[in-house]
Amino acid sequence: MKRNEQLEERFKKLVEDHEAFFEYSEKPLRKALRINNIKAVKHELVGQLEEQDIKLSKIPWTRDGYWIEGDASDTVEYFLGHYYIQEASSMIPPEVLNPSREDFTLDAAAAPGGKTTQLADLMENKGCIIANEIDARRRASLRFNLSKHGVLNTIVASMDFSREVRTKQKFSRILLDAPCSCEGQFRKNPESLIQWSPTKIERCSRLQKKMIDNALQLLGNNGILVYSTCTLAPEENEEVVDYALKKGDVMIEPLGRQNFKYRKGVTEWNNKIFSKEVEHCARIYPQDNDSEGFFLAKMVKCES
Amino acid sequence: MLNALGESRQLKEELFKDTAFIEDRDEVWISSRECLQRNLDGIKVESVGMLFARKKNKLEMTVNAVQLFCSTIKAIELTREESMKFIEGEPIATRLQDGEYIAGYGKSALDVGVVKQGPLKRRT
Repeated sequence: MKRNEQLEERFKKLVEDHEAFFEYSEKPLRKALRINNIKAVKHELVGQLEEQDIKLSKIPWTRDGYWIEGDASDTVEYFLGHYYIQEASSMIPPEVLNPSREDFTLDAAAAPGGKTTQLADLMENKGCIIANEIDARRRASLRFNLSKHGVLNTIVASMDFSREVRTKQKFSRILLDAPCSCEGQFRKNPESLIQWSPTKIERCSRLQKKMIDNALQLLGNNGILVYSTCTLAPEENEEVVDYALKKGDVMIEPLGRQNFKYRKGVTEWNNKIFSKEVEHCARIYPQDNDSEGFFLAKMVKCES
Repeated sequence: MLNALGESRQLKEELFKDTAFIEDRDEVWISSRECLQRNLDGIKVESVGMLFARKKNKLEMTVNAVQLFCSTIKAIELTREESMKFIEGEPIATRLQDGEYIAGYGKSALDVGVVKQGPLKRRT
């Protein structure tokens, strides 16, 4: 991985075991897939892939995820949409949101659709999901993936979350997997290192605050909002969650014991002090689960 | 519509139990019933559910609809190697009469294939 001194200094400050962090950030990312129960029968698919010399090992934190060894992108089953090739840590937010078929669910930044198809699967292709994507090209790939995976319970929408969203609808579950500076994705996409800059972090943070404002507005009483990013910058994570907490009506629900390793959220960063409650956020470093870096917070709207 | 398609496409009727159809000009879309029951005021909707079929000279189911709703009971069963060729649009040798068939791989429908004077090819 190309070195970036400014970035390294940040991680040294942020991550206690930064040597392990740098070591894992340079390792190739383990490939993973998630079985799509809408179209596939799990035990049959596992057998079919193993017949094709694709080795699978269960990912402990998700119902249908497997690490794979071998090329799974050129099989009949892939064409059939029996599985989605998806990074292991990106399967966590839908699992934490855990919607049921009774829910009215919003995926606020849905493209390319990995997490939306996972939400649809968890909802047994029933109920209703609004899969929102403002970018028309990304919306086309979202629609392609939803169709390929047999998703019927989804409405594709194009609301602009960077401005005020004007609807009185209230959702029982919201996933806000926000656009970010992608610091957690260096293993998958080393190019993202070149695009990294403090200015980009500040720009993303401003956008994320606007997006979480809208998401909170659309969340019904006792509704659950999962905020996630694939970056590790506190400006885009704890600072955004802290901003949401200060708006009121929302609290963080601790994740408790999980089948993945995570660290608690940071309460101080670059002379900024965040609410003590942000400790209940989860930071996932590449060395924790041999995955990408990830951040998430589970928030519940209090009855007003 | 389903009756018209049912015989030729061997539709699995139980799968339509909780779904609804939407006709939009030359297209037919299918979605969960709940999607149509929701009040969507203020939501900028681009599409609802999945494109099920296009109306040309006749109703043509999309590949995604074929895969989700067509049974393989009377399908032309292909091996894994033949399926890969079929997906890529290559001809598969058969002794079938001219016509349209569902091509299947195991319990899954792949797509509609056409036999015209010889081999089976995926429809274009």
